[in-house]
Amino acid sequence: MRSNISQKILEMAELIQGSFEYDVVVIGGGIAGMEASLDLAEMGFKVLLVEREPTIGGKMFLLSKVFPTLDCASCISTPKMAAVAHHPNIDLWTYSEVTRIDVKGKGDFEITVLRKPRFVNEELCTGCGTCEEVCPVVLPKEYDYGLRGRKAAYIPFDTAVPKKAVIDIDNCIFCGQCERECPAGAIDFTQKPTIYKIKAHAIIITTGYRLFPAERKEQYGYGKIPNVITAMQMERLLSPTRPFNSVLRPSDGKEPSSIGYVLCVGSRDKTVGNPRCSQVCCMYSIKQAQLILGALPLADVTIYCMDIRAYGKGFEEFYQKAKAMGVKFVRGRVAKIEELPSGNVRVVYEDIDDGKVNSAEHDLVVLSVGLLPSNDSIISIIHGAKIAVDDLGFIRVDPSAPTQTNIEGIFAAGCATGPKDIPDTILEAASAAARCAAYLKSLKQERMIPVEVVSNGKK
Amino acid sequence: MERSDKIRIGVYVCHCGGNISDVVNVKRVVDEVRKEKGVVVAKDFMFMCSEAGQKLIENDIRSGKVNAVVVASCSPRLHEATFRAAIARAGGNSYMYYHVDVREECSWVHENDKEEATNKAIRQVRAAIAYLRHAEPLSRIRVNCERSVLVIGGGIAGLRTALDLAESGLTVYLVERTPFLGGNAAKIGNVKVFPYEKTAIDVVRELIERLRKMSNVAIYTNAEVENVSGYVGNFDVTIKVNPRYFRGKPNGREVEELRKICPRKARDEFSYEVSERTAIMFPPFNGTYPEIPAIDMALCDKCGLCTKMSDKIDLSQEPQIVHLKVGAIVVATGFKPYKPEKSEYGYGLPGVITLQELVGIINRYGDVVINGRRPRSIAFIYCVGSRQRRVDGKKANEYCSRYCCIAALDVAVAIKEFLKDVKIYHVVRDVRSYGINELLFEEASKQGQVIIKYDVDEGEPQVTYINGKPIVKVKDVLTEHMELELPVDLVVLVTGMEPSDGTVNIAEKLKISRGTDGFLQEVHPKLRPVETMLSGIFIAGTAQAPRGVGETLASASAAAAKVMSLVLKGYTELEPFVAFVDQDSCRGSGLCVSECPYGAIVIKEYAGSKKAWVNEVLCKGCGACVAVCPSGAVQLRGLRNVQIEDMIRAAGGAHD
Amino acid sequence: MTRRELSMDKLKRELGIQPPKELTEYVREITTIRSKIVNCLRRDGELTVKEISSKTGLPEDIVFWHLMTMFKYGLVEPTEKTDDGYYRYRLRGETHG
Repeated sequence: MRSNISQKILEMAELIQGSFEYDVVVIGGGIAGMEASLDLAEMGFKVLLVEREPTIGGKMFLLSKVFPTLDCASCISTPKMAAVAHHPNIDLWTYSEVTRIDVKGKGDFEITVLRKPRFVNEELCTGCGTCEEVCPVVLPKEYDYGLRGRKAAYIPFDTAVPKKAVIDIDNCIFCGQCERECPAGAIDFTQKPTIYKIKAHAIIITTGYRLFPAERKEQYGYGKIPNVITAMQMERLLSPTRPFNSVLRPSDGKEPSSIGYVLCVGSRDKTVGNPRCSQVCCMYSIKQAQLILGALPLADVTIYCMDIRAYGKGFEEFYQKAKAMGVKFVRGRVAKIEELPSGNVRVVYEDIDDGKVNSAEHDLVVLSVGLLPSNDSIISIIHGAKIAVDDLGFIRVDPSAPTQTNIEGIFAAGCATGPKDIPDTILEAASAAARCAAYLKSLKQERMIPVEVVSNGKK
Repeated sequence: MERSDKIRIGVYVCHCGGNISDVVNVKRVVDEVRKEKGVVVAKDFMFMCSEAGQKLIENDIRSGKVNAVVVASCSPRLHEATFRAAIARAGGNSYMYYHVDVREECSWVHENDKEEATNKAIRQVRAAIAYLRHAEPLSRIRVNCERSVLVIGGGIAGLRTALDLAESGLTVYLVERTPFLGGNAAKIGNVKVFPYEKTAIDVVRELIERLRKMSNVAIYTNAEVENVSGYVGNFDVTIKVNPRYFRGKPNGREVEELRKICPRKARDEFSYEVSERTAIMFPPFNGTYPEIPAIDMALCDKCGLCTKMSDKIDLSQEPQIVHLKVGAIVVATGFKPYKPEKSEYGYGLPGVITLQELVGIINRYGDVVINGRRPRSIAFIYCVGSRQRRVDGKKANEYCSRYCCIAALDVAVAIKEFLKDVKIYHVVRDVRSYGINELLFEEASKQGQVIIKYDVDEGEPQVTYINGKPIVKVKDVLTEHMELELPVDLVVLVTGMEPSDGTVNIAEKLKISRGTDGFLQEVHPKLRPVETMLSGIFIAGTAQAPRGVGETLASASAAAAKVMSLVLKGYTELEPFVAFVDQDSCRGSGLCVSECPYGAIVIKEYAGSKKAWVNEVLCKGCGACVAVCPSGAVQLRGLRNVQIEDMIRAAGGAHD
Repeated sequence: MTRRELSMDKLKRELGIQPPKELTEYVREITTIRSKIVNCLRRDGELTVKEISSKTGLPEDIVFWHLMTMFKYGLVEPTEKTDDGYYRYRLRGETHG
């Protein structure tokens, strides 16, 4: 039912004249992109960070607490987001997309960036939220994975960076309420998209991951059975910016007392095209189980698994703690999931300990989905060279020179190169900064002309 | 400093997304502290560290409402710097600030008594307010930073860090304890590391080759760090370079003779002790550095036979001492494999070896041979020396060593390709072939390798010996807990990682803290993953945590990036919390001088009388001098005696 | 009385667009659903999802979705929980009667 007004508006995009040059363009403003940008900026390089969504923060921003320390994810990501926004060497372009990368020569890239219109004047907007209050259109909120609604005029989060409103024009009914009520007069429907051609000497790809679409595993009923949710949805329910007032199940708002986790959904599974392990699901499931027991002390949590991959620093101890807290681990592969008339969910599984097929009933079932790459848009737009990806679409990097792709001057870090947890992502992002810095230095030595930023790209 | 400027305190209490507000009644704290003298603003917010939270502080400072700030939130280790920066951005003084930890010190440890936790938080904030009433603006102390770095450890992590740093233009000193570069990764030899097409030793060779070409790198092998003193940006390092007893590189003929001549024998560490070496240690692989052999003087009995074979040998060489000045230090001293105890899973009996010893055999002989024969069956027993249960005060490695499931599968798959008829069993607890390594597990299953899973609660696998052959007894969960007996030709114990002796040594020497798992402790696994609590000292590789080759390389480059952020600027700034002396009250007793552990305070002559004088860059602000001064002349900047006294009273419950 | 021209009107003219029909229908639908829920709460005070569903005839999961959206925008708040784990909700800041 969305309109295609945004398409029409895109056709009116203006190309901004001028010379825009940066040392590095970082594509993707999640934790990897922010880390790499900050490290390079600290070293004195000029960085442009381009993010597709209206706010940076990526997936980490949406999480509750992180394993194995149980720090709150927001506590770690929001200060980095603030640091990125303030660093004098970083220009942050949100709600912007890279539409074309031309590899022109050594250390010579031309990057075309489309800056999408928010229809809100960022200089005037104070993030007060009035437009959101008065907007009559309610749509499923992407950041909450559809669990509840957001308005067509909205601010992504209280702690978004930048904390400015954006109008989803394809879902706008043009009632004009937002414009009339905005106390700062910041709404401007005449905004047009703008296109910039950026000259850069290096690129870092940090486009992160997308989750395995659980509906592809039809036997598990996701999308049909309301009380089968993905782990990301559960993550949202547990996070401080949660959509509900507690951990509640979608069919009728009941607080669940028996929750089942199904591991390896979309991973270690050739039938859906991914034989690999996604590396983080065992740990995030154990983490969520611990948090659920904290939020709902009378609940019981059962994890159906094959192996528990608690391999990193502090992970094994975290796993043993979950066991001690009473989380049940059942060795077995789940064959199918069925809905019961009460809204409860029945899990049918092959129990390895018993050697039989058993079933169990739960109020709510969580699918621990695997991680897939989110970089199709970037791969197809690189011209002048072909970037190497593996058969799942993750960007291939040179094992002896971490984060180096097959194209000189283009680096990749974080989940763009393969699923990994937050500490490994941060290490890889910092290492991309180091390798990129070495590369930029080698260019300077050859050219002997210092890089100067001619314009900082502000509108 | 404008003393006439009244102190106007802003208090900001964080909910920390529930971490604090679930236990401490944040609103009540705000209401109570608002009443305190000097407080003009008191607010609470969901996440103070976020952009929006910081803006609250910035706006209040810019508008002139507030000139001193209290933030009550999580540990200062996380965000003290964040808030100081926010204050500076808004034009305020970063040191008119006190950070109160009401999370780690309050809500997280008093979950069961919300009422008392709230009262405690109120007293904590009142103490901070008392501190600020006497606060004065301070500035950081700028020191020049040496544009050079010391990298301790010449394994794959040290090599990678050194190369990254050298390529950025810094001067690098690489110090390696053994006579040759390469470390543990080189010992893996020709066994390929999944999923890379290169072997680990090829990566090591490449790194060494590139390092040797850089003119700003100095490599010291057969050398140890004797002493480190100083502070970030200005470390004084003493290195002892042990003699190799060789004047130069021997030619081919000399090498041949020397290999045969030495009568002393020892197990060769490079082959994981599978083969022997003499007291003359030759370069263990092509492409290592230096190409000059070294004599193991602890083993040598000075018989002199070798000196007759080559004039390049000089047994009179003495150790050299090198003094360096560096801006930062990276510790990449690596791991050592767990050594099973005698009879642990039958270790010590023929036919029972560790994974490392198996790799040593494959590299040394190019084949898998045990007692002169190829094994027809092999059982790998996993988790040896890892995931141990703590029993009666005995040391236990409770952690998972991460690399081993993958390494064992990798070696097993390679062996099966080579010895096509060998029967291979994997006796596991979990198969932790995470990520892309799952494909290895698939390959092993396709090859017909058998996985046997045991539940540690039902008992560990037993290795017994019958008729000169090992038998593995284990209860297999995957076949209904049936007890299996596997007579095999070879049992391979898949051993975990422990911090190396070098790591333990350096940790003591530099006073780097180690975690409960024994590895070097980072400040915070996400916010500051390669830094230690000692400013200017960084960690990389397996010295920090067990990890595989790819992960080690990433951590090494990450450490380089953080060093570069620190050192490339050419200067660094130290916190201003140093001692200062009131010359008028100082009686020159000198008690402070003997008390100071850093030599930061001395007695000098001033116009005929003796007065104490503080060297601000050496001073660490520990306060020992303050404690012993008989006249109260020396105090700490940013924590003066009146501030301490007022804080204690406020924390104890007094308030005006 | 002249009304200040909104930028929105300028855009509509420029593109020659009308608000999309399906979307307008959808907004009408959800506004109806929301008012059913609000009126139900206004009338009966504190109700669980199941109770609202049976009184309005709306499916339980739809009620819950809209209720949670209203919770986000501060229009409703949870009160106590029943023994079998269902929260009661009421309108915020309104007197019941």
